[in-house]
Amino acid sequence: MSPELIATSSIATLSRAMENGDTKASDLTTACLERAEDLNPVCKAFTQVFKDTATSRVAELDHGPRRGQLHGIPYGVKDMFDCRGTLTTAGSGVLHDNIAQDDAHAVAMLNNAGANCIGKLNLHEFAYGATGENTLYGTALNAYDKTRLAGGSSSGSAAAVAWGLLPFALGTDTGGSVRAPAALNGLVGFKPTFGRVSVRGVMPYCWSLDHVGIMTRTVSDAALVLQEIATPDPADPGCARSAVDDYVAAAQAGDDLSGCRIGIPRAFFYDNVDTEIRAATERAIHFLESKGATIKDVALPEMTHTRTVSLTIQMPEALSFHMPWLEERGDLYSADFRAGLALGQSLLAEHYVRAKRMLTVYRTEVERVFEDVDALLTPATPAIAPKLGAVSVTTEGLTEPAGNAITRFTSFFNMTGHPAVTLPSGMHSSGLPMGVQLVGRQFGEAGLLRLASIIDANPDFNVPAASV
Amino acid sequence: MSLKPPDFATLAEMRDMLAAHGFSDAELSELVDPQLGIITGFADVLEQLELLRKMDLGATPPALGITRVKDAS
Repeated sequence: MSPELIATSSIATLSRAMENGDTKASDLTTACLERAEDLNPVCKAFTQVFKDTATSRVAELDHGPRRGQLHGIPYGVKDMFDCRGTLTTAGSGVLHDNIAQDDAHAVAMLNNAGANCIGKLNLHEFAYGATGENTLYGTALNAYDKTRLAGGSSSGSAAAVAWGLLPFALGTDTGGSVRAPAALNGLVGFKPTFGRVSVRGVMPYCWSLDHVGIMTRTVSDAALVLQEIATPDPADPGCARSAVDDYVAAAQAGDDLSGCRIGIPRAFFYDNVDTEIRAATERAIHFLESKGATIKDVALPEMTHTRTVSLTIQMPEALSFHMPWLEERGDLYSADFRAGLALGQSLLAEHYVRAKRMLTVYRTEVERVFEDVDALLTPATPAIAPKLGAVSVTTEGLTEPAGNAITRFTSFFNMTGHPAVTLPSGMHSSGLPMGVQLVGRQFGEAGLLRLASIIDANPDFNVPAASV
Repeated sequence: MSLKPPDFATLAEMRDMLAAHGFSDAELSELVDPQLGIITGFADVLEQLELLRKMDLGATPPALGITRVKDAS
């Protein structure tokens, strides 16, 4: 395979090529490392590249027994995941000496499956913020327009896959930090049910809302990765112990949607949306209906206070985690994160507890909606990727901070914990990708992947690889 | 009853009286008059939280983990 083909291929394609003897783990790793060396100075996807360790591992992968479809596939992780013996910086100067003692659970599972981690990926400092702006490592650029943000907080994960440096990456998603940047870069972004994937070895931002997430080029690829990282982790008390479904089979289960009911939450999720994004979402609805799905409007909880509820949980939890470092090296934090932590200190305990009780209200009300439908469908983001440096975004008459716009439709499902996936819905006339979001039942990852794979298989919704 | 907007002196006094992190005066001022564009004004957050406080949540407990129904039975 040519390096150009490697740069745009899915995991499934690369895996088949390896099985057929058309390429080797060493070819894939070399191609990704060379591309990272060429393009990272521009796209700012990586914070660290593990050139030596990734290269030294390919001999074992090329000559050892094949362990499955991820065998020999290069990948990267947001610099919130521990990789033994390397720095975990969380994109911050605060952690300039923070060497991981062990691999994060998800990293260990991928490495056991034969995947080859070639580096750590850029982010908004400590995952605080959805623009992905980072003064220390530079701001990751959108693969389709270098004057625009990749989006965040998993900005490097999105940039690495969209710029063709990696076939997949892991990120974290506390308010949409995997799903939103994936959508802004023409990728698939998957967030499992809260607790489905262990967060052990992942730097916390907000324990109550943090999820490990996946970015890939196809829905089937997301299923392959989820299959490995969803393995229960007895060492993480918050990780589900339940059996893992066959996600890979679910993503290939055919396109007959007879009996499937899809809910459309028109209020809030279809308000103040770019007209082209809204039209693309409507096309996805009609397409699923054409495959036999029943479409019905549904009402989700009142959304007026959801951002405040999320913030009221995020900032005290972040402050609690960061307190020791604030004392020792507080001057190394960025001003915006410190301001957020100061807010966390000024809220009352009762505010925090009430916000946690609101999560129960949201979860209960959404569960009630899922008695009548099997999935929800919304736009992934209300607007295309914002320009670099944009402070605010105006969409159909609504002006809001850029970070709020990026995660407007994703953050609610971190609070309810439902699994959700974003995937492309076509190209905007501006030349940037648009996306839709599907939300499934708690632990309904298999059904969700099946539904998403049906949209993904329709070329009308696909986006061309970025020409970088 | 409408809330009195937070002021710098009160926040500074809280900082100095509680076992809390010593955020600088400038950082506390950011809460009263936000300039960084990241945090919604603290007064707005408090107003929204006051509305939430008035909601009757009955005995609704704080959210904990999520259990898979078919495995929980």
